[in-house]
Amino acid sequence: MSVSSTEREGEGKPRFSTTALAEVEAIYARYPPEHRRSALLPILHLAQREFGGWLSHEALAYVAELTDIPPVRVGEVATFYTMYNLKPVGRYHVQVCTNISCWLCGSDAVAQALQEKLQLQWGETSADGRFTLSEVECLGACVNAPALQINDDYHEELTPEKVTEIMDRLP
Amino acid sequence: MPTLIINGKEITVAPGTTIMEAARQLAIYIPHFCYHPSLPVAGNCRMCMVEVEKMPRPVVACAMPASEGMVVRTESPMVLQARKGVMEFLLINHPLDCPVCDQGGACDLQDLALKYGPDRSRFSVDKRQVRNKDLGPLIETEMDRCIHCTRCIRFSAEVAGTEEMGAMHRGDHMEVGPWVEGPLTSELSGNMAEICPVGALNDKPFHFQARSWELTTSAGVCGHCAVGCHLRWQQLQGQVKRILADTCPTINSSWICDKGRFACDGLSHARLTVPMIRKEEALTVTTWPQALARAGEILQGVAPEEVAGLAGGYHLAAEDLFAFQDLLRHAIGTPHLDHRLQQRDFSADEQPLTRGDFLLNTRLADLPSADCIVLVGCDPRQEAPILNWRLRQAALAGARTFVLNTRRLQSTLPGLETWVQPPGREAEFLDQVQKALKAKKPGATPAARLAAALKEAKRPVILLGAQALHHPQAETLRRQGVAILDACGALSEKWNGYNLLAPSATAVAAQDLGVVPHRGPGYRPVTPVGHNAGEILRQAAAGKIKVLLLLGADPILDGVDPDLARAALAGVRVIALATHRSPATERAAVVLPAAVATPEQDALLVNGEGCVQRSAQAIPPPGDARPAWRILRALSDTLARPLGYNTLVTLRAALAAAVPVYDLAATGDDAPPSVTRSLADKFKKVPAAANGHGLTLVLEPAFWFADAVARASTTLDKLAPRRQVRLNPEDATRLGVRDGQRVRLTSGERSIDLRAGIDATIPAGTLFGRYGQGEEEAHHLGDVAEAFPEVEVTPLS
Repeated sequence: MSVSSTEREGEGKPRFSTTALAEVEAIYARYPPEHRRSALLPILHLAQREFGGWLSHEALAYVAELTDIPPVRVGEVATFYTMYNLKPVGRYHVQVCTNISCWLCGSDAVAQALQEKLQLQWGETSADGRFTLSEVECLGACVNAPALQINDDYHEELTPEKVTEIMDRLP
Repeated sequence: MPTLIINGKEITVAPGTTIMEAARQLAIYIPHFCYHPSLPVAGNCRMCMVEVEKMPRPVVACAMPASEGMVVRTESPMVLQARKGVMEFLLINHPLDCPVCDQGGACDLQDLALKYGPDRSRFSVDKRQVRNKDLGPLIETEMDRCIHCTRCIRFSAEVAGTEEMGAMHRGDHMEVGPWVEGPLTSELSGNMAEICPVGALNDKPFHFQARSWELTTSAGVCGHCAVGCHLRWQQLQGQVKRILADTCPTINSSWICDKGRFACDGLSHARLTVPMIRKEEALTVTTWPQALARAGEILQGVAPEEVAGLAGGYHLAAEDLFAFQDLLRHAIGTPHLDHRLQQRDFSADEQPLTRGDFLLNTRLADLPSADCIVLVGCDPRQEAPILNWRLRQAALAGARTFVLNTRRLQSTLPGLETWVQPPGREAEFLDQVQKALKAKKPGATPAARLAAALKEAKRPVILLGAQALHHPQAETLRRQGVAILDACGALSEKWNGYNLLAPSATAVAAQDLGVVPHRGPGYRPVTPVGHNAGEILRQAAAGKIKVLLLLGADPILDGVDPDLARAALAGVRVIALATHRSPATERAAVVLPAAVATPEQDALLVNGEGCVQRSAQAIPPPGDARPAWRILRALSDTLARPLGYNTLVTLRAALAAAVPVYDLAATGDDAPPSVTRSLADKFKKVPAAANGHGLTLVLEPAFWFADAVARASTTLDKLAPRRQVRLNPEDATRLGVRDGQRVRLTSGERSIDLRAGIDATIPAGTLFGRYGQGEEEAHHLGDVAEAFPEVEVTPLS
């Protein structure tokens, strides 16, 4: 993804809170000084949490400035990994695994139930900003397939009824 | 030292050499796309796969180190099958638009597809489409054609040092491009188009101008700065359509800067093509015999000492300069000649300086091995981009880098330490460095830190740039540089760290060939000593000099003081040998159209390190324009003592006899030139600039518009804003100036309206403008007496 230079003007510049900045220091402490650049991945995750579940162009520019890594390198990393959201997501980011183990165990039905319940197709966000529905590759939860992830939480051994109930129970 | 066999030929190579490099040494071609000899290895195109005995699968030659006893085959059935497979994949998404592609006919992919590609695709799905990226006015993109070799990405990160290009997304979605679109900030960006193995990145000004097979290519040397890069001029019907880099390991490797590459359209704009003489106040076209006769009449109508000659700083061949000083000194008989229009401090003229004092004594090829680099009043990225790339190599290899300047540089040198000094205070800082070098307890001041770094260094380098050369204390700074290096023992034949970066090849040759009032060719003193450039203009303004012979010089555009130059030109009769129209040619009595040394004549050029190179003629000069030395020789026929050479051969013989280093047949084994030491240190404190409400004006060389060809180029015109001054954000707020707003600058009686640019690299209290634009730029406020004038800034609505 790249944007024209005019598109990024206007909006206010994102900034980390003091707590988040302390966490950045803690992240840096995990890496040897000569491999400081490796801290980029966790710092991007932190930024995603801090800035509303997704990374705007401004947020990436801020991370580039903060980590002193050229913006293009930050952009490469952020676009490479699918767990960084480059578009706004809802309060609940529902990520459904449709990879082979989940598929064999009935993820198709789970997916269809979710799509009907939320009235969303893959990649869409509900008008009230509550849900984003995504199809993802293996979540590493094959033992209890089918599985889905809502924000940081896993839900496993799903059935169409169970997912509907999970959606209803969300605060 | 592993020994291996490639296609039955045995070779022993240095440890770590790859199969690809070993094969290149044997002149065996292994097809490749991502491999480039001057870039780090990526190994991602997979085209260079070769078969190695006892290895089960083909290996990539570019990334596989050669080892003892390897038996490599580059054309075996296994290799051919692998190449065919790779080609089929590469062509899956590559468009079949070779007929409208600028790269067509000179394309690695096209050539290799002919040999290894399938004649039809088995891929029936739609080809992927990639949006084109905006990379500014120099590079045209057609990203569908990109094969993801990442050469441009590696170039931008490693060579240019600007890290602008990258690969976004992954797999089938991968797109090569910048993160933020817009003009690339690298001054070497044109190389990306050149190294692109397909037609994804193209030379934008060349877009749809010609097909590559129509072009005639000739090799030559660039004359825009003092590096002297090797180029290939590609011309069609007498017009240079495109410039490509040529390989020269000791100078430019395989890179050239954007000025050298893209200024070529300036060869055909604003050119003087016919001789002209002034008749009843207007310049009228005439013939060569009449123009020369008129010039001869003017020269003979005054006493010899009433004639003075000024040579310009760019695009003059050594032959032109030699003939120029010969004509003035011997055919006319005047001692007044100079080329240093931008110099203020002429006090060095009293000293017997010699060749080594004006050169880059650390050869370009040796610069990367320097371990401590100190830039004094120098912005190498602007003044000599390829030199900057060499410095960057040193810095990447661990050299410490320092700069002493009047503003922060937008540098590509990693870890550059900057000491911003107020204009005029540089010498004070260097004096402290000298003291710290001698002191037992140097302390922890910045000067002491620099002294400590220099002491530790084994191969220190001091580089004096344009700001140091044009400084009112230029000679002081130069001697301080010499003294510091002498104290560090870095002026020996083994390692000479003294480097003076001349503005251009012409400036180096002008020193060598005696286009200065106090020395003849080969640094031999002359008597009587004539007036220097500043004095010539003052004498002309005072009416004591009556005729000015200009060789590619325009004192109004190039001189330190445009007002003085205007006054000087108003009072004298001007004979102008010039390539382009300029304020001086508008005021001339006789205009003689000259060729641009490279590429319009067979020329000798000397680069900043003193290396003499011959550049062959690539295109004819436009219209009736002629090489300057031919004009000067013809002009001498109208005088009492004509110049004694009628051909290039005899001229070069005379030149080589006077200055042996200009003998191309010479072996070049002479001892390197040495630097003049033990001159008295001239340091004395200068009074602080009056600091009222105004800002101190500092003039810098205008990189994109330094010479006539660059000024006439419409391509370069798009790169940098003209008629602009830059100031610090704080000053801007205080004065109520917005970015891009028009402001009036006033200094004494002079004033000019320009656009303000707000730039955080500018220190508070100063204002930065450009040289080389005379009436149109802040240069208009320039003054010989006051080097850093105080300027009032008033915002205009």
